[in-house]
This record gives sequence, structure tokens and C-alpha cells, in this order.
Amino acid sequence: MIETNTYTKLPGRGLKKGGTALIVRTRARLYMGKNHLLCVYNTGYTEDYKRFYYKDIQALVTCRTSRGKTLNIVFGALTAFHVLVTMLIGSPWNIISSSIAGLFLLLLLANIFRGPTSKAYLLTAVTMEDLPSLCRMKNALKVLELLRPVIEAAQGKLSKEDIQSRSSEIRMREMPDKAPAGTRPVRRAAPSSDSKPASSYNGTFHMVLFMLLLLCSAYSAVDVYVNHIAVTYAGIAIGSAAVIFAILSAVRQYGSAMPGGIIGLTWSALFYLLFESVILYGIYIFTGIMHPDALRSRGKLLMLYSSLDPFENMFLMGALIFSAVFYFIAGSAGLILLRKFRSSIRGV
Amino acid sequence: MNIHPIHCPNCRIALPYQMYNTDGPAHCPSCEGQTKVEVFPALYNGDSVPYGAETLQANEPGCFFHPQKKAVVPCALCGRFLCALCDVEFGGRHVCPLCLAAGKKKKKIRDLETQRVLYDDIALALAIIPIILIWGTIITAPMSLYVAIRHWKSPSSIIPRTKLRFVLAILLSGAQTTGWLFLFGWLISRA
Repeated sequence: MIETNTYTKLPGRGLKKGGTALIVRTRARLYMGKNHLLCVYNTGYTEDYKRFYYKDIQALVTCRTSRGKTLNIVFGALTAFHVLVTMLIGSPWNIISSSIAGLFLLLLLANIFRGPTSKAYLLTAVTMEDLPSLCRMKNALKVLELLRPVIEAAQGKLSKEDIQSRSSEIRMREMPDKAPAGTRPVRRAAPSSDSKPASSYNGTFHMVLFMLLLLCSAYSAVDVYVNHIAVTYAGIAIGSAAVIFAILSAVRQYGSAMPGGIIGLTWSALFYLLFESVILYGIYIFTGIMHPDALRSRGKLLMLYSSLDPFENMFLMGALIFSAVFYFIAGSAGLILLRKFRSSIRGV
Repeated sequence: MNIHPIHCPNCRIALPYQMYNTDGPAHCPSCEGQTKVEVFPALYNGDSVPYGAETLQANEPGCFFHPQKKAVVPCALCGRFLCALCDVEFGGRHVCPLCLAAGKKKKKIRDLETQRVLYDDIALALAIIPIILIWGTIITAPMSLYVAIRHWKSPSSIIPRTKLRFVLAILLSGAQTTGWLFLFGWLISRA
């Protein structure tokens, strides 16, 4: 070995997104070396390394995101829902729901304790590297404070006057006919590591999906009280449409400038729609097993399934209430975020 | 000079330079999220690095790879004289392209390694995870022992770590293997 480096662990850890992230959890951490910053991506059985020499680092940028707030709302709603279920149902099932409520409360407290969420990246002359370990603002600011002196020791210090004069000079050279820049930002896709430009998709499929989710929420609420085959058919139609639009949205959001909140909501909605379909199909099959004579006719079986009364079946009741709450939160939050995203496109 | 614009990580808008190196976080003009931008001189020094090599003058040492070019530095590994074109600097050392390629191939230069297999984690996982299925440990316990002993001296993570995972893997898989041996011995003796 010709080089021996001692590394100091920097605060913050996070999960790398993209690729096989759903199957293999790639954990990211930062380490401060003698002359470089080391990004370590750990898949559990292998470690990948990326080195950024202090003399090459051009900028470190971090920005607070709303992911933490969204998580707080989701965990809060789930805690409240399970507390409500605990109060409504009797023993011994209330032990299970109160345990789940406790779990969500712990997650909520942990999220509050960890502080606001953030996104960060590092810029060099040839690459822009996302830093998933700096997913909390507190840690990101701490790391910036730790790295600034070592980078300045390698490169020298840049005063505010230097920045102003050099930026103005560059912008004047780039846009000689226009007024001094720095006053009006230009919307441009960030250069990604694979140099793909962001698509100009404005979120039409997402809007339909979030509206369908609100419709799903209304349907779930109606299904608690109305046990008619027409409602079941309507539910199948709305659910199928929501799954189709969730898939279309997931495809269209790839490589677009969509904020992380909308992307996360789309994936959550798709997974929950599929999960709910599996659960409801399980109940449908179970109904058939309980009534073997109805197995010969699919229509009869569907009639039997739609006549199930949630007030007599606590599992079905819980599933319907949970679905109504989930779809309402996902649909309304999605529409709010989409509105914000669209106005940010139009506003610039 | 060709510089990248600095973008907000959240909404990807190009940030105005007034937001660079401020004392505290500033607000992004688009998403209004708290943003902190730290820029360094390298942002403006993109083209300032001198490139090329001087032509050799009389009585001057020449580059090993380009004899007509003036040598500026010796390779830190093989000692060959290098011109500015052949000089590769990393980690504060100057090396020639051949040593660099050889070092990367033989994994002798740690700063060029981009991946390592964590044998200690593999051994520990083989010793712990199959416990859920119980019967699986008949196969995985000896495997874990083999991985732990075979790779005891293999380089692990670049970040220094102890042999604790290997020790735990050996203890756990050793206990599992011993348990199975006792069970089989008892079954054979009963038969």
C-alpha cells in the first residue's frame, strides 16, 4: 500500500436512492480523510467508495426539504387512527392495535428528534454527487462547518467580494445583452451524474392519480355503510384506474424535475393500491371457501362478497377505515405538492 | 471559463450568487427552503491549471515516455522521470501511468480502490440469518466458519474495523456446528 489514510467519521447516515434501492438497502456515510472526502456506500456485503479531493471540490450545497413534515403527518395520522381503533374494539385485539399505535408514536418521536430533513450535493468540475447521508439539516450544516476549513486549507479562502466580482464577470460574459444577473434565476435542470436532461413533464398523470385517490377515499368511506354490488363494481373500476395511473405516473416521473415528495407519494400509493388489492382478493377467496356452493358462479360469489357487513367484521372495518384515511392523506397532500410544483414551473 | 451553475438540491433552480457563502442558511427564491451554499476557489479556477509539457533543452533530463519532453518530476514508485503530461498526481504523490495501472490492477494503491467485499459481514450474516429457519444452519454454519477462517487476513473495509464480526461469526457458527454434531451423534447412538 502506498497510501495510508486515517478517516474521521462525519455525522449523518442515509439511504442511497435509485437502482436496486428497493431490494438492496445501500447505506451511505461520509468520512473525512487527510486530503479527500470519502463517500462510502454499503450494501451489507460490499462497500463502494468515491473520493473527492479537497482541492477539486467546487461547492457544497444543502437545502431543507418538506419530507420530515410529511412523515410527521403520516406517522401522526397512523398513530391517531390506531389509538381510535384501540378505543373502539374490545379485548384482546386492542393489544395489537395499541402496540401498533405505540410503534408509530415512536417513529413520530424519532422523526421529530432527528430534526428537519434536507438534501445535499457536492460539486466538482466534472460531477455532481448527491450526498444521501446528509438527509437531516442539522447534520448537513455540521458537516459543512467541518469541511469548510479543510477545503479552504487546500484551496484558499474565497471572500464575498471575490464571489461577487467573479460571478458578475462570468454572467456578463455569458449574457452580454442582458441586465446584471443574480437578480432573476434561470430554471435549468441540475446536471446529473449521467448527464440526462430533466424532462418537461408537468404532472398531468399525477393530478389524475391524486384525484382518483380522493375518490378511493370516498369509496372506502361509502363502502363501510353501503353493502351493494354496485358499490363493489364501482370500487373495482376506481381501484383499477388508480393502479393504471399510478403506474403511468411512476413511469413519467422518472427523469423529471418532480420533487421528492410527489415521487414518494406516487410510489407509496402504488404499493398500497397493490397491497390492498391482494388483501381484498384474499377476503374474496376466503368468502368462497366459507361458502363452497357460491364457488360455481363468480357473480354469486361477488354478491356474497359485497354483502359482507364491516360492522360485523372488524378486520374489514379496520381495512376500510385505514384505506379511507390513507387515500385522503395521500390524495390531498399530493394535490397540494403538485400545485406548488406547477406554480414553481410557471413562476420562473 | 466554464463553470457549473449552483442549483437548489430541492427544486433544482439555479441559485443567485448572493446566496453563496452566507453566514447562515438563506431561502431559495423558488421553493423557499432554507439553503446553505458553500463555494470554494475551485469553482472559478477551472481553466487555470497549466497543461502540456515543455520541450527538452540541451543538458536537461528527458521524460522516460516522451524523450523529447522535459522531465519535471520522478515517479514516486518506479523512479522514472516524467514530463508534465505523464505526471499523474493523486494523494500528494506523483506517479507514472504504468505504475498507476499496475497499482490499480494489483490493488496495491488503496486510493484507487472503488469496492471491497466485506467478508466479516458475510460470515456473520451466514451465522445469524439462517437461525430463523433452524435447519438451514446445517449448511450455513460450516460455510460461515470457512469464510471467517479463509478470509481472516483478507482486507476488509477501508474504514478501520476490528475482527469482532469474524470472532462472533466463528463463535456462533462453531456453536451451531457443534450442536448439529452432538444431535447426529446422539441419533446414531440411539439407532
